[in-house]
Amino acid sequence: MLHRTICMLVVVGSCWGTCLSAFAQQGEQVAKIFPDSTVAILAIQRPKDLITEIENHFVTQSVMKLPEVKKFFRSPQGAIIKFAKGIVETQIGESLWDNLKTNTEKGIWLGFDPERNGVLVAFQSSDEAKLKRIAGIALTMVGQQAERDGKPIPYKKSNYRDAIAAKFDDFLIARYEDWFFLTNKPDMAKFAVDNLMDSSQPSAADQVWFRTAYDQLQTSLPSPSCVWGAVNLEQIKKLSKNDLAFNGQTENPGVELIFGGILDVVKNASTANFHLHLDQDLSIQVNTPFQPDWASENREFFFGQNLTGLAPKAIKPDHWIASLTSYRDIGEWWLAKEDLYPENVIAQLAQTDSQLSTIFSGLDFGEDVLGSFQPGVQIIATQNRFDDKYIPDLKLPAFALVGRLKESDSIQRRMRIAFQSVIGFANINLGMNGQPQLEVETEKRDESRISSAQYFYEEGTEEGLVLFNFSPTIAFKGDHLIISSTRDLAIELADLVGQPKTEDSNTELQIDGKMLHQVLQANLESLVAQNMLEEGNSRDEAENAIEILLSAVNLLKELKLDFDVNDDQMQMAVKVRFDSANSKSGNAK
Amino acid sequence: MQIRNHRRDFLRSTFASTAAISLSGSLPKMLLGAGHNTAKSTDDRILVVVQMSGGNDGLNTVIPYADDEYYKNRFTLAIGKNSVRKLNDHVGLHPSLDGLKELLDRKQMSIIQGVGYAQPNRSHFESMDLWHTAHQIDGVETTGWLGNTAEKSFSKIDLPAIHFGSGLQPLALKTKHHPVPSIQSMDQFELKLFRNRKLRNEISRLVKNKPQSDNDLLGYVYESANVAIETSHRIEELKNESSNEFRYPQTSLGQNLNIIAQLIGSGLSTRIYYTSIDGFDTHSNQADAHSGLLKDLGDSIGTFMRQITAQGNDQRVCVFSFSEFGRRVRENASRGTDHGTAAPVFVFGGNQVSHLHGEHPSLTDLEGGDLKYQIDYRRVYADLLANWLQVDPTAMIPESYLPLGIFRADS
Amino acid sequence: MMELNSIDPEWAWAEFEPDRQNLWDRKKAAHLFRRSAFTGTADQIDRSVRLGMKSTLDQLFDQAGNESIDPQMATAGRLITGGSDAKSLASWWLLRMLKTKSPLLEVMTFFWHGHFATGAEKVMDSRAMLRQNELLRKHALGEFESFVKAISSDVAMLVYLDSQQNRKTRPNENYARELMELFCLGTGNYTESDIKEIARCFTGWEIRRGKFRFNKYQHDTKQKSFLGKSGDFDGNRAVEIVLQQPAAAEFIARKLVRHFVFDNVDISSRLLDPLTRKLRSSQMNISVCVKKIMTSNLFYSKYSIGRKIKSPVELAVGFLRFLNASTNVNQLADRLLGLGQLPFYPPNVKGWPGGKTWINASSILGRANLLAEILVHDKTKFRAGSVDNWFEQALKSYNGSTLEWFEEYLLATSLADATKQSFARLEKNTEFGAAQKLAWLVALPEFQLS
Repeated sequence: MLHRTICMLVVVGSCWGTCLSAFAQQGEQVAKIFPDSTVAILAIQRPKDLITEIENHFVTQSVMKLPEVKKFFRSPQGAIIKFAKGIVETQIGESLWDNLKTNTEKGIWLGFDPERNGVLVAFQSSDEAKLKRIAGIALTMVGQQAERDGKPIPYKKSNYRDAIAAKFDDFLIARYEDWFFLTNKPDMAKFAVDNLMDSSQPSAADQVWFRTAYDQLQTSLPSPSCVWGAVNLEQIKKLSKNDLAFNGQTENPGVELIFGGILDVVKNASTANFHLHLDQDLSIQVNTPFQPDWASENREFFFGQNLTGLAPKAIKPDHWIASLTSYRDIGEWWLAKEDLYPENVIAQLAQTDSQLSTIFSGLDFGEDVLGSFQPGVQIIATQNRFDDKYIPDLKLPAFALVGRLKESDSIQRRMRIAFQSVIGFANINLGMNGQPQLEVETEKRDESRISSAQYFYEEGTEEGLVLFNFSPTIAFKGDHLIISSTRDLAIELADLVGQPKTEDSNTELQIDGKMLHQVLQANLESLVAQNMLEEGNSRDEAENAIEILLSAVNLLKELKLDFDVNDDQMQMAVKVRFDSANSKSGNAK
Repeated sequence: MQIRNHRRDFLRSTFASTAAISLSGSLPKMLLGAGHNTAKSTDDRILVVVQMSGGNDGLNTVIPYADDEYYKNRFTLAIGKNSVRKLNDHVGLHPSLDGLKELLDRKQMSIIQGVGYAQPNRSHFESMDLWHTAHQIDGVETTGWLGNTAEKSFSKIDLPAIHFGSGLQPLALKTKHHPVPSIQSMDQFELKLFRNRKLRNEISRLVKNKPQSDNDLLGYVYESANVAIETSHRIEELKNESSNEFRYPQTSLGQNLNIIAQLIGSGLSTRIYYTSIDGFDTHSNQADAHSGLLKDLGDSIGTFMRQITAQGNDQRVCVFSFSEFGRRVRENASRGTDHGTAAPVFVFGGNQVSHLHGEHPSLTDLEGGDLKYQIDYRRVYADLLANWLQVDPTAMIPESYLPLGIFRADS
Repeated sequence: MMELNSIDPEWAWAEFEPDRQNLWDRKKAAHLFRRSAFTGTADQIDRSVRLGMKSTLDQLFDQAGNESIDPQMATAGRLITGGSDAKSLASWWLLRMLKTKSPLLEVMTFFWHGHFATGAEKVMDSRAMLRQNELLRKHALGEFESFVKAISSDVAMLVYLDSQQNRKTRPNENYARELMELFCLGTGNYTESDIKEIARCFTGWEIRRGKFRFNKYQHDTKQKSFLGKSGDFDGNRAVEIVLQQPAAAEFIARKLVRHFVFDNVDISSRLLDPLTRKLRSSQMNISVCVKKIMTSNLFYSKYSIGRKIKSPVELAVGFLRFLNASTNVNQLADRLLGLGQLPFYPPNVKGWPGGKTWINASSILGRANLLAEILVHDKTKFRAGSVDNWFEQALKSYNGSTLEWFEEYLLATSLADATKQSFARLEKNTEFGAAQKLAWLVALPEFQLS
């Protein structure tokens, strides 16, 4: 137990730990320690900056304050870790963190080679003597522990050229000058040593995919201290050639609608890269090369003509939680479906179309309903409000879809009729099951026309019946169409839609952490109940687990994801903003 | 556990042959076919039911292409004369059913036209209930015609009937006492034990010898475990033999029939298998939806029967496919069809008299816009029970319904 | 089948008194816990050996009498019904069975759920199902008469038996029939005419907007004659008259014996007689009858130990309780459905037939697979931290071999020599950890018996 813990500490510590590196190695040079068959490389450039950021980040501080985390450090496992850390620190005469900062100062690297099925973690120290010393101490301690347990020493020492190594059952550690390696395949460490000494073998650094990714990274890195990675998509695709997704197809219509264009990129791009940067905010950006002719013809619904498709401007009514807005032209999507999917999915879509057309009684779902949409739709979630008289157990948010219609007048009327038919269908069912039924009302407000259906609760309706604030609504304003789960939200949105404006990317997801937290908080009881069933937890345990989830969400201020392509690259950017105010006021009770 | 004697012989022979020791009586089977020695005597016949839920459009399945009335009534949905796969100079099959061609050629498929019942009910649930119960309401609790068959005629068999599917169990399988299991995958037919050979082998070996005990329950559990493990061995062998040979559609019907074929091949003593394909309620935009469903049906059953034939089991496995009703003669304004009455049903496998039974119902002599039924569905049931499963049908359906005569007398 | 007719009924139901030949030992204590509490943990069994049979039973009944012992689980049930189907309710009940501090109460509630079988598939109202569950729990160890009266106006029950509307012009015979055939008397103890007359007593009992209501305009106030009595009886009086029938006590006694003592189908009236008399003289007090069963010679004899096949719920819940573990109960519920027993979803109005029907070619391996899966499932949480820790601790506090430990605490029968040798080989193999060893042991046919 102890020897594993020590090794873990050294490794984990080094990954996080680190350095005031003014010498961030040039990625190109370092990539030569990985074989040419490597498909993924991850680098932490200037680890010290990152660790300092993490150490001082209020998210870390808030997490450390969590009762669960405190409890862990009081638990037996936590105590062992503390104990081991103490021993090591006495021996090296400085704090483990400081030591690791020095020993990884020139960077941390990780590569995966599927041919060897090996992973190599490497870091470079700024003080060779220090590195040598701590490696020696760790091995000695492991040996002593084995002796106490009456077991043989769990590693064998060996030399390879100028490097020395210790081989354990399923992994190996090695040191060469100021370099330290950890790998599951000794061969990987040998390769690294060889190439550091005489650069004799072809390596990842020579590969086109890596150079392409690295060049792209050079232009997009926001600062020298960050985490970045590069992936050989070409090779990964070769290795998993049966996977539909790598061939630019999916069997799931939902996935196609949301990610269809990305599948085109994955199909064509030979490489992808990402970088992560942490300051007060956390940003992650994924890039791949892109060429306009990669966008397949049948995905015009996704990219728009000449890749110019932009998402409509996100609408944020009161109590806004999240929105997903995108260019998607669902009418075009429906027309292109025969080319997008395998035969069995097309057959299923035909069945769905048949069923939905029946419900829309008279309107052809695919051609008439989907076909009448202009490109650009967004889905909006807001916090729901409830009648004081009927507060449901499960307080779902309100949802709405906002789009625009090509030809508005006659299709509006036909959709309204279809809406009434759908509610009529529902009423027959509700009535047969003895549940409250829906009453349709159509109203005109300013320039908008709103048809909504509200539950009619008779006196004496059982309090137990499930009463979400559900008043399905369809509203029109100009050429805007709003389909909403509540009348209130539809009215608000009708006031807000106006001149069509766009965001500056193809697809955008935005989430408000504060409101998300409120929704979860309002559904605390239901979340606890679900957690009990999913985790087999007692009520107390479930409450604890949900409490942690809520504290985590509470740290989130905003999350934003953008997706876009231009003439030479695809870019997906995630930005997470934290709410430092909450961490200070201390949510942990 | 009760196992029929020849079943025990069969299992013994399979294992004996793998051990290269042949017990008396198993030699002929070994000689019969390498790898396909699962054929058993025909008195162990099996019925596989495929329910088409939602009301299949019979007119666009078995198409009266020579009748102008068909084209008048099906002004957008009609299948053109040239596309129809002609059975004779009056009717033909929908082109999506090409997967069944082989069966048709081998005289292992029959179409019984105009099947229904008097005073047709156009509610999905009520009509399906009638098909499931054969109109027999037994005391307070309703039971199904196949549930009754399992309980009354096959009570000595360990697992007389199995339902495949995740939804509600069909009323047809409802029994009075011993429920029919519903199964969704093959998982329950394999002792997993972390796929560790050593762990599994020790158990397989132990359950062969039931311990001396005056506790008959213990003996019973041992015997069950032994049969189950032997079945699972056989299934595994079959999987290795033929996993890529039979390409079923990637649909739930295709997958379920694949599992059923494996179970039949493994020598499981089950006599009735039941599975469904849903989506036939095509009120709007019917053409593509219906054609996809028929393709699934035809390809699944076609592949299934090929696998069954390769096993040497085609003389003991029969597939029966039906729907709760057909659809109205005239299509509606949404390029769909509404609930109707009589429709064709299918029987596959065994030796059959002819590929068409009964006349196609007239398209002009209608009852309120619907086809008049020609053959009561209970006559098909009576035939399947008496002449296929070889049990007394009168325990399940009224005596007045005489078997239809689908199978050749010598089969 | 063993000769039950040769058993002396007086001996059978007399209180079991341990002596030198027939000790109160782990094997018997484990038997008691298996039948009355899903299963006992090793600690509970050891404590019971020290306390003796009587005190153990007193404790079990005390816990069962204390309804407020699981307040958290009770409120959780209401939460879960808010917006989901009865499938979640089934998961909730399984969780309650796993966590409860009054296991006998849950065992009894589950027994009555099979007796007054009501299926959520048809009722389609999870709140009504939950209320029925609360009703079953409330009366599970009480007086049978008030129990039957309560269930007669239970919403879920009436919906399940199509009695939402029972009008005087068209009395619905369903409930009247089941009341006698399945709930109180058994076939052969009433006539078709009795059914028709009793159905009239229940006219006007209705369900309106999910609630029971007595509609006096629809109640038939004319005279009814059945089971030798005549008068203007209502439903409650009808229940009283039915339960005054001599057949009632024997019917309930037989059902309890078949559930708690052995799977045998044919139990003679002669053998049951002392128990039947006790039940009758206690005004059909269920608690008294169950206690008499669980203190009896017959219960601790070879006629009972190992003479039942565990139901899927007993198998899984018992195993998890013994492991002091819990798991994802939604998935557990799915798996139990596949094995033929999901709470709230009995196959028909007769409940689960039980006994040998639990075992068939599709269920026997499924049962072993389920237990193995539980052992390594990432949602299975052991109070001991991990299955390895649990196993290590269990064996550390036991003075004997793994096999002896298994036989004493977990098996109703003993193992054959071949099995023991087989396990000895596996145990030597360092490739197998606690999960593998345990999964192998519980895959043995012997473990299927209770």
